[in-house]
Amino acid sequence: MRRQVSATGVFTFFLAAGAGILLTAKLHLTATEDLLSIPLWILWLAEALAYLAALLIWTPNISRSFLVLGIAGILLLRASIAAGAAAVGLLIQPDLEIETTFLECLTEPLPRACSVIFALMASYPLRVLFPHRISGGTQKIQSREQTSPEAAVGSPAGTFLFGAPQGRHVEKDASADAASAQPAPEPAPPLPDHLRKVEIDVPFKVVFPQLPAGVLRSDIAERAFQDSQEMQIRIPLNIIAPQLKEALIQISVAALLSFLPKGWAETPMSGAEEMIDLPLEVVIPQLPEEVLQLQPTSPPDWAQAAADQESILFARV
Amino acid sequence: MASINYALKEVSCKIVYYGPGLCGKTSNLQYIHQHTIADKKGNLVSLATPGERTLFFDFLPLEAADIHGFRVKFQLYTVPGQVMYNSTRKLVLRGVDGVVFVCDSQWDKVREDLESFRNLQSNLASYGYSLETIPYVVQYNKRDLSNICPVNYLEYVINTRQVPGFEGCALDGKNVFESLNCVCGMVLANLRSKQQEGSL
Repeated sequence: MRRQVSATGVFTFFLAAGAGILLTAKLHLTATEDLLSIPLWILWLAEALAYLAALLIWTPNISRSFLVLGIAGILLLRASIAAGAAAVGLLIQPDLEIETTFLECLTEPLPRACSVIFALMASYPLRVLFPHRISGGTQKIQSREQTSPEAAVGSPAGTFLFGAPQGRHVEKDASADAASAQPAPEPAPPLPDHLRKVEIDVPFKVVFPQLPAGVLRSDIAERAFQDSQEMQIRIPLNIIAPQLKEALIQISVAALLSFLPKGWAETPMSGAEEMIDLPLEVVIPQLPEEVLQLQPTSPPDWAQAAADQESILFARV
Repeated sequence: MASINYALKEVSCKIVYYGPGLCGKTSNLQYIHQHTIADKKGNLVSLATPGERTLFFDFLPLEAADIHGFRVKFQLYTVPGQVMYNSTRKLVLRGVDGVVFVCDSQWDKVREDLESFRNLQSNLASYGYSLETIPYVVQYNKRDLSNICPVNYLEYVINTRQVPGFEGCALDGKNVFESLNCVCGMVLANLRSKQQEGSL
């Protein structure tokens, strides 16, 4: 799923950044050097901790690489605010030295605290850009994909099973698609952990005719069509399970293509949002028994009353 | 709702066969009509198109055995399954006492089954009724066909309340009377409990 910052988020970003620049400049120009005498290493440590805490609060399951990236990003934003404040300070007092002013805005305790706070405020709307780390099945799908490169670059010839190179994206897509396709009055119960790694094989020949023109590379599409009798696409159960109650299982073209080897999809792709039906007769027989088990429920009063008395009112003649 | 005539000692109840188009509602009534004692049944009134699609509804009056000195009559109705006849379906549901929801077991009809079941809930709600208070059974019809989906999936989709369900075949009568007897028994039990509560 494409991540993007909303218009409100962009507005908040610029508002916070702008206010940060002005306030930092003001604090720099009015601050007294002796007001706060805190060792520099404490300031750096506090700043790093502030970034870390903010990122962990905003995205609790953020991956390590994005954590480092996020801290660097906020630091960069903070430096930009300090640079902006220095520029504003120079506009107000042209006699100041540019390098000194910038360094002071960056390191003096009060302007520094101000720029840190506003950098955090400005980066808050950008938190949606950090992907969450997914636990359970999709994580395992990713790791499986990494350990079996031949699946990812597989040839269309012969029987093979495809994994989910971007399970996280696919999972989000599928849940959104299911919700938009038909609002479910009764949400499906969450899938138990041990079932999250289950995958359902769907023959490529079933989905191939439904693929819109222009989503597969033409040379691949031709070969795929010839070999589609034997090819299987392996789709994680956690995409299918939430849709079972609707008796209509669909997957977006984009999500489906993510289970095919890299390089199969045409770029740029059109029709990625279209939905593909997965036939019930293919999916349901492969489901583990417990997926279709109904939750125990108390019978209605009338059913209980009827159970107390057995009667035959009409008989066949 | 059921009418009780104490002067004539007569109870009359309305059972509606509901389900998607071509699922076998009329076949149920036809089988019941063909296999019921002549003096206990009325004429089967059916208004259908040449393509055997129910245009308005089917109606079959039946008389059951006397219970506690009361003559018990059941009026069996079907609804037109086609989506465009919703106002007729709603009309037929007025005053319903029990429902036999007939599912088409074929794979490609499961979605229609679900939509019809939701339509039933919605139409009942328009009268202030609910499947919590109106007895119903589910009949998984056409089990004799080859392209049918397993009953556990139909139950998962349709019968989440786990009310009595019957694997049936309306053409050869499999579980047709069992479904009818079950829903009629529940309707009478429901009437009795309402009478004891004083709400009838």
